[in-house]
Amino acid sequence: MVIPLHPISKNERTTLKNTRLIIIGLLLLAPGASRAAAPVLRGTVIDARTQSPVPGAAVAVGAGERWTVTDDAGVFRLPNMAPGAVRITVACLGYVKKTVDAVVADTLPEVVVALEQDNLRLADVVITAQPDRDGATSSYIIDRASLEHLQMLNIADALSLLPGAQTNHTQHLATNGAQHLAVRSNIASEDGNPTFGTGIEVDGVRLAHNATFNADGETRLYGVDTRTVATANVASIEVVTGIPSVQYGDLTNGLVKVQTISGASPLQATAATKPHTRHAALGKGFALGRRGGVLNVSAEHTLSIADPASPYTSYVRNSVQGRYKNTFNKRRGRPLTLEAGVAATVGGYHSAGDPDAFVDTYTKARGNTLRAHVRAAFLPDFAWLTNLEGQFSINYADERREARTNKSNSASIAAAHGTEEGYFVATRYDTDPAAAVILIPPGYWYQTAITDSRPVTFAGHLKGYWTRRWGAVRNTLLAGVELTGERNAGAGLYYDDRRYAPSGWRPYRFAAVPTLYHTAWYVENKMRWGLGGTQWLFVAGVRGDATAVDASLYGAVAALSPRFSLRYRIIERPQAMWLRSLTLTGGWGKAVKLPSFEVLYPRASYRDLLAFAPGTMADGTSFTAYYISPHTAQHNPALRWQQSRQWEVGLEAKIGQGAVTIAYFYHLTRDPYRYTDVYTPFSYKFTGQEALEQSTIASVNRNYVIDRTTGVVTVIDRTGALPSEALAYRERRTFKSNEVMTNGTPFARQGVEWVIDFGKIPLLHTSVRFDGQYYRYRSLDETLLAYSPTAQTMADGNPYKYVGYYVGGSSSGGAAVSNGRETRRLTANLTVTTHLPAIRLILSLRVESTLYNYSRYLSAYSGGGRGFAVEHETDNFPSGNPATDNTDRYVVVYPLYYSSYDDMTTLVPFAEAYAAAFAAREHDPAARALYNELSKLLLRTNTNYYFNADRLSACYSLSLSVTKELGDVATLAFSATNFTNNAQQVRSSARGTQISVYGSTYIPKFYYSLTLKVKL
Amino acid sequence: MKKTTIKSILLYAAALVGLAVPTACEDEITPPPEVKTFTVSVQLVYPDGFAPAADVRVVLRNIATGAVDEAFTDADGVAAFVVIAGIFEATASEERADALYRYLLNGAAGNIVVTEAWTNDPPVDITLTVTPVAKPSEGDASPYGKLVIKELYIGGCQKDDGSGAFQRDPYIVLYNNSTQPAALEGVAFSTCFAHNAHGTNYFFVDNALIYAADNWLPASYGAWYIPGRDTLAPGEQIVIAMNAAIDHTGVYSNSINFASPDYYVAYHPESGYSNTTYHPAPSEVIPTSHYLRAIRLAGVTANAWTFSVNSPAFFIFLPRDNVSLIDFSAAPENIILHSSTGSASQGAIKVPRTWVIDGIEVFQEDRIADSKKRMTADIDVGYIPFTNSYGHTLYRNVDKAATEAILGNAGKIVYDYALGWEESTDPSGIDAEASIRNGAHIIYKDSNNASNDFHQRSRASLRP
Repeated sequence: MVIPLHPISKNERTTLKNTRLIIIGLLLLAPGASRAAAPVLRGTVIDARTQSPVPGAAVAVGAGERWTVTDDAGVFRLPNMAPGAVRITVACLGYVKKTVDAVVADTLPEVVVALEQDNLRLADVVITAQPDRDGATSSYIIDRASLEHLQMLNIADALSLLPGAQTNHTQHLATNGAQHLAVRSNIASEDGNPTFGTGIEVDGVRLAHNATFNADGETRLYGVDTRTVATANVASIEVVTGIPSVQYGDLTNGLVKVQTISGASPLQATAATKPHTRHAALGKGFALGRRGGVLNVSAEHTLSIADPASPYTSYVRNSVQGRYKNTFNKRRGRPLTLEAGVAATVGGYHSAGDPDAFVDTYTKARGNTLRAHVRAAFLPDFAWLTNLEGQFSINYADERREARTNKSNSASIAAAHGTEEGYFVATRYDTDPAAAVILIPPGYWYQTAITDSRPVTFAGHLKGYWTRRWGAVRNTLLAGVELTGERNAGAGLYYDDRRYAPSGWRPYRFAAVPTLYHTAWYVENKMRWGLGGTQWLFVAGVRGDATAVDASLYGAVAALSPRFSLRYRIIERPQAMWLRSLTLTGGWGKAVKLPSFEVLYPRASYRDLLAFAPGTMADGTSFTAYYISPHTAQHNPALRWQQSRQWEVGLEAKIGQGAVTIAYFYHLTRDPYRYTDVYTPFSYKFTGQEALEQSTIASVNRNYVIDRTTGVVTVIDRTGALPSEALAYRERRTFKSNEVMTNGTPFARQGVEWVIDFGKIPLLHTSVRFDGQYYRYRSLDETLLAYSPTAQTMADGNPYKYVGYYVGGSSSGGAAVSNGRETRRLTANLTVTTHLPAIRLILSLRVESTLYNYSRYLSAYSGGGRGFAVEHETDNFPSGNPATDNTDRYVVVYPLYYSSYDDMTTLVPFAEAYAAAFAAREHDPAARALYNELSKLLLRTNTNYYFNADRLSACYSLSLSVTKELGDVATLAFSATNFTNNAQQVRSSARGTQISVYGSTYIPKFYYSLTLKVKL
Repeated sequence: MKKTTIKSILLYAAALVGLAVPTACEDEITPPPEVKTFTVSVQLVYPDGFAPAADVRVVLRNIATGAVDEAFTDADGVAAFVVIAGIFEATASEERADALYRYLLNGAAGNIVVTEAWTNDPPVDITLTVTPVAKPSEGDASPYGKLVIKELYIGGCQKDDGSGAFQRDPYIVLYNNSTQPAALEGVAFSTCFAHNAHGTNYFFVDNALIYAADNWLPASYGAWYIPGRDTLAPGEQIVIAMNAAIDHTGVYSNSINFASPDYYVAYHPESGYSNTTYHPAPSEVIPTSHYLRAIRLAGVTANAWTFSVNSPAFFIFLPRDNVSLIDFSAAPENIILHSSTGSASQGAIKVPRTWVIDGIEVFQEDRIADSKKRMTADIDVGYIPFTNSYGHTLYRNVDKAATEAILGNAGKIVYDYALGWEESTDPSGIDAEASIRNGAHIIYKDSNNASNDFHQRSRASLRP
């Protein structure tokens, strides 16, 4: 809807001519600019069907820089409008958001905006993710109708509507581990912690996950558990895949913004069923009188079971949410909106009661969360400040995990818990509960391990907009500051009965880690100008992040993130037959992922070495002793924060009744966090049973004492009849390995996404959409990794004495035969949607296909070769053939260097030394021994196809969804995923084998969903 | 408008049905395939000096289904089978004797791929290898001349609290089945990859073991060996506890009491097998001279040496020609990896088969269909099914004739053996353990065929 009012004035033309000067002026001198007198924008919002006024509708001009809310009469008023073309967006719960164009002039008549009720009677309903065609970067909006049609159970499900995305293969919530999401990434196997780098916001509150620690042995970093986010009250989801605004920090892999329902609405009851899941929800928006605002409340219960045949292992999500919103001072044109929200989820994973498990054994993991926020938005409309917004939020999660297992042993167990270095003999718990090594007696017992993790985040931000208009130029300057504090109130891993805590456990209280404070500031200028069909939108911003890391050598660190994006509409011809509009987009940006506690406060690790092992006595006890060697996690002064650099270019076109969106993205992750090991030589003493065989003291009368410092064992006669005996020992030399967090090698993701909407075929009431993605990921790690098989012995019986230094390896661990991986995938989805407004029914058939699926392990090094082919699987020297030429070959990888216990500072080039030892082995026993021992540092493939490229032939799945409204009262939705239960064979080229897609991870499994929603 | 709507729905529904129907109907209209059979002739190829013989039992096993068929040779040494298409392996065992020796003839042929292209020409050859066993001299009762695996206890037993199986009490019994003292020094043992017979076997390529034609067996992860200079007299045995050599019966009443100074134990924490759950300090009554030493290969990450609890291929061996097992296993050329990931944690020593003294191939009783043999025909041409977790053990059958021939056994042999498990029992009917307690000297059967030489005993011999 366009309201033409007056021609463009001479003054405005002059302004347009000087656009460039104005741009510079806006950026440099914006706060000092002055403003001319301006007209008032008045209007009324009505229901298109009933013609009755719509109170509480949000009215925004431009990108929200000026806004208000309609009063009870549906009237809104925005004074001091700058003359010129404006775009007014009106949104209200229960109605379709509407955008109208108008030209503001001194004599502006009242604008009447008629909103259509949001239901399937509408002529146009979409059930797919829609590209945002207003912003300067690529993002997709998934609205309520799409979510209802999708029957979302987990917010991660919504990502399946993105171009080329596949249906979420995890059909239920009852997995023993958390569920995550990541944008533009294959989260299963990629470097750079993609789920950790993806930000998720609910109603503007970031779901924080920095104050968390990994479980033992976990070396990747992960994002929040998406299962804890209720889905019943979600109004829309926006997925920012491109360059996000500088308002958003602490991310490297995109942003998912969830908006919950806000506004007056009837009581809605929802019931849904899936093979693994039952779901029920209630929600209502209360209008609290003329000036009382609106209160939305909702409640949800979701129960998922892991196996329908054995419905005991479950995940429960019980959520309640309240959101209050009120806008004051509407009539004076300076509205103030106050909003407060609270959302609580109680539930989690529980395996108790499974008759297949032993009695009283279970695993429980809480998924409790509490989010609360207050927000104030004020339109002061000063000359120097248009908009002001402040928010404070708190976000608390209780991720307590409890695992109860039954244990038994016929021999006593010496459980090392000491945190100080030295030799310690096992002591009965009743004798000294705080002993460094506890003797667990033989017998049966239960062990309950509790990991208490309770991350808390509180965050506040204040941001202001200054919006000005000069002729055809509209400029908005945004500036803001943020303060975030994160801590973990949990007790860490502990055992309900320390008597039975297993060996290796050490208390580590998460709550002892100090609060981590992040501060951030940002400035962003958004400038839009245009004439006729041509329009430019240029966004430039910079964000500064600073982190204060208390009680850590990292101290305070800072990072800058500049970001730019541009949108250039070349053609806009709404009445044209074919090319109705053409727009180019592009952007570049840097984003920084702040480190988590796992990165900043890594736990100390310990090596417990058996130092004394006397024979087991008749009662099953053995007073074993350990040498405890603490490994303090090392500070890395050179550690840099993980960051990403994104480039994106895109094209949007409206052709006939259809629309095309294409975007190319290049996403470079720099300095990804990764662990490495540092080896330090040391020696300890070992005393065996043979030293006791000469003892004259009867075993029942022995007391063992081990000198904490020297490790010498003394046997004391309890009766006092015989003198004490010091036992002989052997010296053993080995290594300590300390973890250190470092930065890995940069790697890139890139791809092309497209969405082609063919428009509606009127005869069939059917529209067709073809979307897809070509995605390429390539990572090659060249970090120099030290590795020594310290648990090995050498041929002489001593611990292994060499350390190898390898070029790269497994992204999540140590040295490996491959140091990278490349994947390429072409996925395409065809969605055929039939929408019959007359009978309020929408039916969609979706074909998901993977047309090209390529993966390959890599072994390469920019400084020379890495890995070589050998003739036979046991050969140690090159055959002369290329290593990775896609031909069946066994491949061996040498370390680049090695060092030995005797001289850790000299790094000996491995290949030369190894070849020399081999050449001299026949006549030189020392060379023979060296050759044998160095051979233990070789990494090799055991299959000759390991480095072969694996191309899977194309596969597909078909899904069907139906949504039917039963009057204005009820909505019924049904969907069947992979309803043909496809069992086609795909060919894997690595070995030439055929694999059935049935039950595989290539396509989703067959399942169905049914949802009934009733409005009362 | 309404007409258009209905038409649209019908058109759309037809399109959907059209997509769905082909897969649905395919199964219903496809006629059952015709069962076609093929004849497979197996020719026994004898070593020089041995003529073909009739009525020799030949076993044909479908390696995909585990189905077993048997046939007997004609006078030319040819046995014929009628089968449906599949991939098979054939085995044959025969025993002959002359005045001085008994000759054990064993052979196997793998990768017999029967398809539409099968012509049965030429027949499948099974090349028999001969193991001569000296007959006893006068007054000397045993026909055998070496150590044998008398018992293999691997499957554990039930815990007293009903929480499942306790399986850290495996043991073996080595027995001197000959008439001469047997030196134990350097005697080693290990198991073949794959760990379980039905597990993925990367040494089984193109339906055959990659080492079948070479002279080695894979000793997975390394081996254990006896360092002391003990000697075993004829008819004597040693018990080796493979994990925890303690008295388990105080906690697990169905388990074993290893607290005996006569027992040996695989205990060598300095080797890296330092997991005190599997390898706690042995009972103090076991002398340290009875501690075995471990060869733990480079790259092995496990800190406990674990046995397959249901289907190992276990063998004992003794390095020959003054070769040191430590040096041999330190040389990279004697190591092979069994892994799909390039991980060195799955290393194996290529033990020359001429070193192997005895071996036993075990299949899990309910997984026979997908089990693959790991022993070559010259070590063990058969297999013995096993059910774990209930205290069962694998026990060698008695050579009835040889045992009864010993003059001193008169009146000491106990018959009516009743400890077999279901249909698996000792065909001699002799209760070997009861007879030994009675003072008898037992001679065990040893034809390099576990199918004939072993049975599944319902109770470990070490349990009272």
